[in-house]
Amino acid sequence: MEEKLNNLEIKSDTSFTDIVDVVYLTPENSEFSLTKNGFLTLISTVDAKPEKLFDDNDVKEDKDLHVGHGASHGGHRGAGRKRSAEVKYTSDGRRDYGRVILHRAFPFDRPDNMISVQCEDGFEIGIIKNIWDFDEKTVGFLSDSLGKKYYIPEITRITGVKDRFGFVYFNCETNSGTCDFVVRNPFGSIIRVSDKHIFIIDIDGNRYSISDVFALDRKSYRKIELYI
Amino acid sequence: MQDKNKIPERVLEVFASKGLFEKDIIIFLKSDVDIEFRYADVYCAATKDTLAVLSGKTVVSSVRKPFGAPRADIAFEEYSYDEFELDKLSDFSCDMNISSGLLSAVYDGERVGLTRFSMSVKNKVYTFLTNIKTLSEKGELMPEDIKTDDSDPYCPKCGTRYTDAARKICPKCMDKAKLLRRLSVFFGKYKLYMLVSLISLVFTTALAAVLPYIKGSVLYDDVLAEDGKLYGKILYVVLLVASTKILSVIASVVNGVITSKISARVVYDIKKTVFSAISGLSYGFFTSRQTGGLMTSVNGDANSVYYFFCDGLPYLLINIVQFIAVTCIMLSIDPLLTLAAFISVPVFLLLYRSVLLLFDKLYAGNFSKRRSFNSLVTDVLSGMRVVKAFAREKDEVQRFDRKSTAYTESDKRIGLMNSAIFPFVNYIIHIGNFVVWAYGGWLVMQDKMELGMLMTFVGYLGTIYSPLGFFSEVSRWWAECMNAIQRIFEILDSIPEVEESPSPVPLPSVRGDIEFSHVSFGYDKTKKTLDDIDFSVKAGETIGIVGETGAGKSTLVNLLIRLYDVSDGKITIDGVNVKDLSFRDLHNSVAIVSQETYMFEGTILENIRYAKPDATDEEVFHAAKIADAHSFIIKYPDAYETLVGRGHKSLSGGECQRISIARAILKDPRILILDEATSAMDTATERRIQRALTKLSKGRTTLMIAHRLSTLRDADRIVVIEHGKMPECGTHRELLDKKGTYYGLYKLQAEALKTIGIE
Repeated sequence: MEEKLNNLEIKSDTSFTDIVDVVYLTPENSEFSLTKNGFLTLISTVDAKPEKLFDDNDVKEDKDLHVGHGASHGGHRGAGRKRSAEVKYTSDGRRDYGRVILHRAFPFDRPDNMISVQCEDGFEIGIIKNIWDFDEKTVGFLSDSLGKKYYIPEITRITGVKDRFGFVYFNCETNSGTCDFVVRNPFGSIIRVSDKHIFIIDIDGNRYSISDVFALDRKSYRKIELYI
Repeated sequence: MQDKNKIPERVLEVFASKGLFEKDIIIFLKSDVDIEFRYADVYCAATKDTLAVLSGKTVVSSVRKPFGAPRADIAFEEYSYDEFELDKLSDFSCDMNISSGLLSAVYDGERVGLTRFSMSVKNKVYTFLTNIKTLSEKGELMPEDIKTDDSDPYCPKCGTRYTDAARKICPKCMDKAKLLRRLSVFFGKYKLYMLVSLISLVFTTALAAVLPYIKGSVLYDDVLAEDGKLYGKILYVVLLVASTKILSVIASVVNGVITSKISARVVYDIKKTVFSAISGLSYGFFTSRQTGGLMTSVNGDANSVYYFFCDGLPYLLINIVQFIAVTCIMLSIDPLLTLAAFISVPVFLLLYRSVLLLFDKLYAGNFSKRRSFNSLVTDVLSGMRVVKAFAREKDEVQRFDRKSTAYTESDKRIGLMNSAIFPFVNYIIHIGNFVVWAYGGWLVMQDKMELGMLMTFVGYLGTIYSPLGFFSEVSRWWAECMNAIQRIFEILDSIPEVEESPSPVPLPSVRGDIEFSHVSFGYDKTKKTLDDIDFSVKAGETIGIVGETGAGKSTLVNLLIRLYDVSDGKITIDGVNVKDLSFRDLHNSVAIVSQETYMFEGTILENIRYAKPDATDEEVFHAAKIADAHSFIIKYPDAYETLVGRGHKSLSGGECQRISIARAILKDPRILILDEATSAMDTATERRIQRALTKLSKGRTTLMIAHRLSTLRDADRIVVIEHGKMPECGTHRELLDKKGTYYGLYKLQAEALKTIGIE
């Protein structure tokens, strides 16, 4: 990116879209697979090296030293892990990124489009425009990985709602089992994604989804009606 | 300490059956979501050579025996069990997903998920992560090395989730009577007034009960009836009614005056107490989201309490007493007639409740529409520059129109419902009236009742119907008031995280030696903002602190002035731990100019003098000159008495910073902290201030945080902070020679200058 900026000859008709590249991962340049324990990995001809402030030789004295990775630190970074400086390549010269993490750019409206593919430390390798561009097997891998990252229990029945001192105590049945949670300020913590789809965010930041509030049984709907 | 005993007996039995015994378990974690995303009890238990993960669910079934009480039978239903050899496990990590997390590790070269967890147990998982890392690296874990997390957010009595784990108030177990008793402390000062108020209240009620009797029985049976005791003395009755009325008016005026007086005083007392309690709290209180909300509600809450005690409670008391008294009188007149009068009340109450529920929904909708309408208006008005710059006025008008229409529609619907429904609901209650007229009229015609008595009865009827609606609403009013009281006491009860030492070490004259020794700190348990920072500053030295945005530079000074306390290590001034200093000594010796400046409402002079209210004019001038502020202040028409702050003269970022610097200089501190204090100034101004500050910093310890390395050219030494760690520390020359992070930053900035032709 830096290189492109330096070498770019600015003409009067240069569009801003010419100035920097957005790297897209396609079936042609990328190969996703799952490890036996279900972690997504990537081998790609895209060689996205972290931008370095200075030459690698300069940092050798201090192994613990981390260098900034430019602007691509994602919000959901893995923590408690050393950054491995080791860069691996396959025998045919493609980069083996090892484990990668997916992050949706438009999680509500276009869950299958514009997926950011990141290294474990949050460095963005590239973007998948549409997961359906890949073959069926890869779509399976990607969906599985996205499904796990974006897993939110789906509320199937609301068994109790109690308002106590401005906090609302919910007892619910979800597709993950029964659960109880507390919501602060229900008008701010219940988010409408569409006419019928809502999210509830509890005081710890856990999310619960109701894909279709109108499909809830009457008793459950009556309990939540006031807040939506 | 993470208590081993917390693993339930049944679970230990399962572990034992797998050959894992309680005595060998060093640390354990109870997570709440299993690897298949099911809500479950997942126990991760580590011994010195094994990590076992047991997932299952505690099943409680009550078994009824032929004799005796039912017995709860608790069993642990196992879902899965995995065992890992600890020495083959490495690279433990936590991934945070959207609504859950995954604890994983590399086992035999393959990453494997150990357990998932919900956000609710996030802190516990991170504590376990720290412990298991140490255990797997060192092969052992001494009890004193075990990190603990005692933030159990559940009420031990009833298991209800606390709304705030730090304050541990269970809404279910909270004693409401105790709350009221505590509130009564505020009313306690006004005992005499309250007594008078109560007497006047009883008096008003009694008079109200007498009035229908005079207007009914006395008027019809004694004055108008030919055989009455007071036949013809109409003036007598009129005077009696008039004087009763005037007495009642006087009593209620007395009552009203007293309640408003007391309530206003009480509200004032509450607000004052809460505000001073808030000021005493730690800085962290103000930055956390949940408590920020609490603070803004203080005003509203004190008013809720006021309305309830000033309007609601007296009205409720009068009405309850009156209701009981009148019902008794009515029963004594004719029980059957009383029954007839109440015939429609149950229907009314039921209907009224559902109408209220309907209005709740309408008002909730109206509220959200109004909020979105209001925020649009504020948004557009404060963003007018952007709106105009992108020529979006038309779109904004359209947006306004949409929101405004929605809001108006909602208002209209409420108005319509109000005028359509309530007359009907009120009509229903008056059905009782018609029944009384019919049945009572029949009684009078049958000579079973005097006409006056019936009139009295009807008079009483009017007094009991009116508060019925209020009664059905009072529970809500009460709940709202209790919420308010609870929130108020929540603030009063908050314990500041940073507490002043009860027996501080006196430090009247500070030299200015500072030492950060192995300081670690995190705003959140899951992330260390500062990790093992270790350096010392000699008195009189100027130290520059550099690093990327978010590296932890400002946190470092926040810790020095004790806005927060370190989690590990210590910070000393002249060899004394800052925790042992009194706030007064600490804040007298340290002055800080931060990036975000704040101007209080008042004159520029007042703002500069904020640090030292008794400073002389000469001192103020000197400080302002050093900060290069005098030159621009003196140009204003009102010079030093120019009003600044909200709604007054707005100063530019650079001007605010210069006033802030003057404020800090005026305090004449031994330790001066400049946190990006000159970031909003042009280079020439910055240079001027720098020169003045360099002279000033002779003999003063100065900590200077900056992005621009040129700002730090006068620093004796430079500390580099990166990702919370301190990779380097030394003079400019030393750091350049080292070719580390500082060298990288320096090269970057030098290259930036090169591109515009400066070398």
